[in-house]
Amino acid sequence: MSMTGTLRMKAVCRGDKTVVADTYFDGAFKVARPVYFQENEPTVYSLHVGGGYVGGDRYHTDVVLEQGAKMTLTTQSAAKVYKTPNEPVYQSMAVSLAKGSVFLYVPDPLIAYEQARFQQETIIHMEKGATLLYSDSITPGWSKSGHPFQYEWIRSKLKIYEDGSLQMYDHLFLKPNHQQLFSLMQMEGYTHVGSLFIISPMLGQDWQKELEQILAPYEDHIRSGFSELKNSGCAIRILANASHVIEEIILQCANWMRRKLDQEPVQLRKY
Amino acid sequence: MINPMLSFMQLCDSNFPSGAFSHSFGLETYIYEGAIHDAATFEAAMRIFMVNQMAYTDALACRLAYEAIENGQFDGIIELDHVLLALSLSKETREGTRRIGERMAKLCSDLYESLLIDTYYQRIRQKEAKGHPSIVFALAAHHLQADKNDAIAAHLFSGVHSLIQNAVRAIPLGQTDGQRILLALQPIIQAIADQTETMTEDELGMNMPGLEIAQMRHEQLPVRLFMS
Repeated sequence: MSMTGTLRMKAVCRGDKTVVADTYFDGAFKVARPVYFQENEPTVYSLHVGGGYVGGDRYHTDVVLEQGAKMTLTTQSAAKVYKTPNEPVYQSMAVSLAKGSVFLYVPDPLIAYEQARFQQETIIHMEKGATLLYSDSITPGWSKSGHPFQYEWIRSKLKIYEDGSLQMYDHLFLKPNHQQLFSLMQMEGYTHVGSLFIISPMLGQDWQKELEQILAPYEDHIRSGFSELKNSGCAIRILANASHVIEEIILQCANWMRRKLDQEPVQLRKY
Repeated sequence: MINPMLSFMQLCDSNFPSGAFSHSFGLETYIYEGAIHDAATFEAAMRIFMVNQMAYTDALACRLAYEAIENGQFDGIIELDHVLLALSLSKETREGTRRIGERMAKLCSDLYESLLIDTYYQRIRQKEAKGHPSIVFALAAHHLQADKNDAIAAHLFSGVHSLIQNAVRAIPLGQTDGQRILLALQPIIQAIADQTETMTEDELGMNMPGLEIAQMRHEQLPVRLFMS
């Protein structure tokens, strides 16, 4: 199966500094040169040169962080999924995190337009002692009728393994026509869904109380919940009516985590 | 040989001590917040819960477990056990399910002379498996030589039945309302059992974001009748 876009990168330690080695990209995926907002730690922006995802597109990303490496991966703009009349869009990602590495994945939202079908599958293998912050948000695109949820379906799977054993499997499936998506238990009147998973030895004992404080100012605009994963990690799910609210919360959580790791706050200015 | 129907009546009886009566799996959050407050709002919620959650988790898991047993793939059952527990993002729901699964495995291992049930329970005790009610139900049904489709329907029935019993206590509803809802939901139980045959393994465990949030928020409810 030929790929529409492929991206591979490996972050390694050179003394105190993390450098991105072995970067490879092909097709519609590109990465800009790593930006060092902080002296020792690269932020990588990936971009889609085609402007959007269309039916039959297939994308794959491979990320490896070697022992002690620290890297943030983000996107330059939202992933837009357009009409997929014949084949859905498939996107997969494989991440491997060695001990002591810190990987922040903070992509822009996925925007699914009218009649879009999109499936993504992410598999993360981490060694105990690695830090992962994985975020994701899904947004319905503008439609002629003005009604939200004109996409056909979105399936998103995320599996996290620690030392080879499955710790978390998040499986979201959103299908507007069939499931009365606005209803109780589903989107509950909201249009946007955000997810955040943090696994780190530095998360600490009091994370639930701290997180409550981060979320408190947003309570009137969102519906959110958090809980402890099997391996003591943290899962957060957010329903909202605007992308920027979810983005803001994710960024706050990223910086909350970075303080625990003695890292400076992340800046993701896009240009 | 025992008539499997009679055994199902025993396994699905509300007196069967699986511990399911102490769990609402997030429904209590909606009751607390008022979104579920009478027979009509509860029945509507149950329909969504059954069609989207129970169908792709309990029913499909029961089918996959039953097929793994038929094919002699015990490793497949252990793998399914791990996947099912990893699918619960809320700690209370995950722990609750695990506890019910473990208790059912112990009970069934005491009740039935089945090497597979004994082995599954041993694996749980050795922490090599977690315990999941859908797996135990499939093991018991297979041991009793019950039909797969009947087993899935009976398993769904028992889950629906205990949630209704809990709602009768928590909302509260009249006993007759509870029984009327149990009757009204039976066609959906059968429809899901039939539909399970055509589901793919890929669809296992699809979650609804709102329900997950309700399950997570249950952990912080000030007043709780249920453990999840």
